[in-house]
Amino acid sequence: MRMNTSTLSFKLTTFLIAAVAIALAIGGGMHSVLRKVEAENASRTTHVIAAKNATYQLLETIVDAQAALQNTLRIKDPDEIETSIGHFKNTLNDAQQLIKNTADIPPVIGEKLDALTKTDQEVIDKFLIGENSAAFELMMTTVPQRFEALTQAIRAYSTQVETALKNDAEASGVALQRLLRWAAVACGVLSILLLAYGWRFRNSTVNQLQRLSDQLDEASKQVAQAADQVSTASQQLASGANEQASSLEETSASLNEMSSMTKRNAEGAVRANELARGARKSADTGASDMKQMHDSMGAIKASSDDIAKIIKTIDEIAFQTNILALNAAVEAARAGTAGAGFAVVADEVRALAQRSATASRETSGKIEAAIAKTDQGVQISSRVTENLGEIVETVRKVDDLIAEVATASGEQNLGVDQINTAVSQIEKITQNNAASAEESAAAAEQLKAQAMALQDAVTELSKMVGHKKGFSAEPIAKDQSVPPSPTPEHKKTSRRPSDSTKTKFFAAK
Amino acid sequence: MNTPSKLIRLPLLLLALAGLATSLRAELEPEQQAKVEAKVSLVKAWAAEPAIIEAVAAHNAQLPTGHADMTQEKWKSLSVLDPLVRSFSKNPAGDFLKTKKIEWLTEAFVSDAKGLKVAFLSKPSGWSHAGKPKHDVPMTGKTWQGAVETDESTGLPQLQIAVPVLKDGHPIGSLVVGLSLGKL
Repeated sequence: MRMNTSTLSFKLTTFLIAAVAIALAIGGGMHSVLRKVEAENASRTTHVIAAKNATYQLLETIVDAQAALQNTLRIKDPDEIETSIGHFKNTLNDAQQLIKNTADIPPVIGEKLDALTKTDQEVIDKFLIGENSAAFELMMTTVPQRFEALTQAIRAYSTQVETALKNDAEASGVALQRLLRWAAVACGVLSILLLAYGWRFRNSTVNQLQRLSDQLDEASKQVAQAADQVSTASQQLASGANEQASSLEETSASLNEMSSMTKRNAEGAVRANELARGARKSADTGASDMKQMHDSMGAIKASSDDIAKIIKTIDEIAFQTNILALNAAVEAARAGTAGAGFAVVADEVRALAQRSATASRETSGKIEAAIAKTDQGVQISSRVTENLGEIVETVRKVDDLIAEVATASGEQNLGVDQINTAVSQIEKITQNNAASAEESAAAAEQLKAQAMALQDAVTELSKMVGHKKGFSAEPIAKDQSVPPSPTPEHKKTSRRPSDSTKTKFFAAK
Repeated sequence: MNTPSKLIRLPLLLLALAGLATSLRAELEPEQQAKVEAKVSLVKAWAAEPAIIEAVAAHNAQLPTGHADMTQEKWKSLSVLDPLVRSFSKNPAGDFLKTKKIEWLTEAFVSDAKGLKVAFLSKPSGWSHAGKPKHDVPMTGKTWQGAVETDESTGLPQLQIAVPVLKDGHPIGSLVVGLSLGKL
């Protein structure tokens, strides 16, 4: 088809170039010939006009000179006579100069002018010496003869020029007519050749255009169908994009909520970290206090040991006091009644010593129990101290973990923000995609309309080239090209006709 | 092409016809005569101008160079453009006459007591008018009027009048003037 199109273009170009070239050749030839004829005519006309002008100027000058001479004869004032004669002589000089400057003027005219000038001078001479009658006589006899002879010579020259012009014009006309006949014959032959070539070219062009219109008709239908499918797909794509956009909006809202929760978590982690740090500090303080308590309990044990030693000493003192009281009683007994009061005191001291011993024993028991309790408390406090150390260590680990949790929450918050931003961008892109899909759908509708217009144009083209075989200029129904469902499978299949259409169309070209 | 020759011949024919017509009219009509007499009075006033009187008196007293040996034959042979002839139109009396040029004035010349030319507008045919009435009559102190004749140059009817040039009441020369009757 491309070869055919190139051939058509080549033929058309060749035809046009040939027509223009022939027209230019004929026009140029005719123009050249006409210019030549025109130039010859102009030259002849210029020559004739120059010759005629020369004769007219010569006649006018001579008549002016003769009038000046006649006027001179009527003047009496010498000043005026002098001026008039000067004018007469100047006029005659002009006439002689005109004859000298006009190459074609025959010598006889100059001779006749000289004769007239000579007679005129005689008239002037006679007039100037007062022989007016003689001057008038010459003016009435000889001057007219000379003047007539001169004018006859000029007329003869004018007639000669006219005759020569007429002969030249006739010869030129004959040549031009012969040329025009040849040009007419050449134009006729060339016109017939061009007509034959044009007819042949017309037939081949019409056939090619008919084939082209068929292919265009098919292609326009397929383009319309493809456009319809593209329109439907675009509308579905726009709808899906809109839904996606709304989902993204919801996602974005959820992400916003998650972002705020993450922020709250991060803030809680920070607060927990601070609390853990406080707990750690409190545990450290508790451990220190516990150590101090352990030390105090050690001191209490030491004091209890000292008290036990004192009480033992008191017990020993009570024992010895009791021995002494016993010895006193014995002595008091021995002393009889004199010793009876002493014996009573000894008994009282002995009772006191016994109570003291009892009290010291009870105190010693208490103190031992206290020492035992103190030992137990020391052990317990040691264990509490160990436990508090473990607690402090655990709290430190908790603090570190909470700090890591806080850092992770911050990073998580940033990540959520980035996700939120990305989702917003995706939402915008989705909206743009939806808008583009709608525009694509509209463009596809326009494409379909243009395809229908193309089909109308193809119909016109077909009518223009006189396509007689059945041409399907049916309008493309919209439901013919709308796919039944916008499933991906359908989309996949709906693209194929378009591709095949393109392939066909360009292959046809 | 016959037109140029006709252009020349026609004025000449008219001149001849005009001359023939005027020669048949010897007497002036009273109305025409009255106009002529009015011009006579005007010309007398010209003749009384000092430029005229002084020029005539000086010419009477002594002839200028070239005037003494001038004869009629010699005068006739001189061209109107000859310097001697032109001098008569360029002296004070000639200049005065030029100031009086008017349509009806065809010629004017001043003669001394002997009829020799003192000044003129155009060269007259005669060097001396002595013995002719146009000079002799004014020298008697009277005015002279000639017959109607045809002007050779124009072919129109004209007549000449002559008045005396008076000095101290005595005629010392004459002033002859040509009048074109048709333009009075």
